[in-house]
Amino acid sequence: MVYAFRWALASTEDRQSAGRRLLQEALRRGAVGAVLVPAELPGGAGVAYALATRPERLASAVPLAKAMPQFGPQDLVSSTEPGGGPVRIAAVLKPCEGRAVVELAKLKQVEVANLVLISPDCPGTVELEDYAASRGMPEKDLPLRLACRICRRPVAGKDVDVALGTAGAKDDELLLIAQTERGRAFLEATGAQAIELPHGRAHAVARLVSRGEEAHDAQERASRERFGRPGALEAALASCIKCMNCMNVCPVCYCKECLFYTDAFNPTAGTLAEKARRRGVVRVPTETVQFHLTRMAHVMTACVMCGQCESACPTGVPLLELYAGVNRRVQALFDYEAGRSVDEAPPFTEFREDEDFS
Amino acid sequence: MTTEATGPAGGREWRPRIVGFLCTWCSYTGADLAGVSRLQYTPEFIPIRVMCSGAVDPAYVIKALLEGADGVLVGGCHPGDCHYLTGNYKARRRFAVLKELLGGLGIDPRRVRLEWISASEGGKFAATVNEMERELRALGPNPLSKQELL
Repeated sequence: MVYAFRWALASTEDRQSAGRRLLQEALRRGAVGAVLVPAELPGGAGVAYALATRPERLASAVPLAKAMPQFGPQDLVSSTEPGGGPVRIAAVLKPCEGRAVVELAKLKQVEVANLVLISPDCPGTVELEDYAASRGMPEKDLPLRLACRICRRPVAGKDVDVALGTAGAKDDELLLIAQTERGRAFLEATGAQAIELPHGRAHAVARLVSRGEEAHDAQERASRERFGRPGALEAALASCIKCMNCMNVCPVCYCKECLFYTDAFNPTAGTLAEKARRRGVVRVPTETVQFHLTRMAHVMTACVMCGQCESACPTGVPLLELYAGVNRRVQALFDYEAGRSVDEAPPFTEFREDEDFS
Repeated sequence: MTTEATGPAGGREWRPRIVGFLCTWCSYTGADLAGVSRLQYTPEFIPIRVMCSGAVDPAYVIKALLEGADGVLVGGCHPGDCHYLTGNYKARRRFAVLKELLGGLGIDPRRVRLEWISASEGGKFAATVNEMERELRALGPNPLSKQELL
């Protein structure tokens, strides 16, 4: 059951500031104790997540920012704890990050008991450096990130408490759709006005999704064609410097002890020299192909295609293009979609005795 | 894997090199039985004994493919027979993901295989390895092992 609310825009207000005012009101009225939301950095340095407890400190919040800072879902790993945590947090995360939170919750990394998840209808995001360069006004001409151009699910998933709707909304309002009881209680506490769900909403959302699916499927075909050619994978990974940024910003990569930091992946002088002797030449850093293939094998069932890996890559490895060819198909093996539902167990945590993948 | 490579142009006839990760409770014992039964299979098979097919992280399989194996066999207990009850079921899921990945990334998924071979199935072990060798011969040397470009 969903409950719709509206948040009217004041006469001189745009949606961004209306969203900000909603969050400030939520803090002021005690609906939550803290808000996690993208906020503009001083001096036009771009945007980062802020965890705010005082409404007046939310003046630079941009809940509908057309950019996605890193570590939103991971921030919830460190700010929630089993049983709920000390403070109720409203977290405004992009739909893909919301899916990552769902994955992390199922893996017992995030505790959602004291969390109000909010996701806007996502118009797509630009790279953070582009956002910073445009001083927060990347409205028209800046290119969207590839992850956003091929996003299949640009709206809040069903377990997100509140969808912050622009699709199907009138010009003078934000639509607030409570998808859970917790979301409904939150919105009632903010003083938002309950309304009937506008008729156009479902259709507008369906259109966004089908447009995304089309773009994704085209990329999936292109990726499989590109990387199906011999040598294409190695060429794509050739520039990797194994900085592991892709891994460190990945919202669903969560192991506390990581295989890639063990000795097995960090050659000592002897093993490196032996490998060079055996092959005649060895590329350093070593094991870049090993790193990426293993990472894919480990996280592809949980990958939400947010593209933070690619955005964080300093050498332009086309990670999203690689993943686009395999992501949906890997998850489809288990009739799974990362972040779709808290009720679906992650594929590596369960099995059926009679299944056959051959 | 310190033996010198014998490529198609390297004088001796090329034989595919197969690395096998074999569960100690079943497939490894099955391989042993193949040996004492004097069943013939390729000498280019390199067995590695593991405690359970469920302990074979895809990282190992990928490593073998990158370090010169033309094919990788993972041998586990038949479903329902796992010494640790469920390890092979978990291996099956992990392996399905690995195969799907390899297939989408231009690496022929026939280079990797997951088979259930019990301790009493020495014949099945030898037959599996031989069949895999035939298939790998047709596929030719693993191009990935020449990579990590430079």
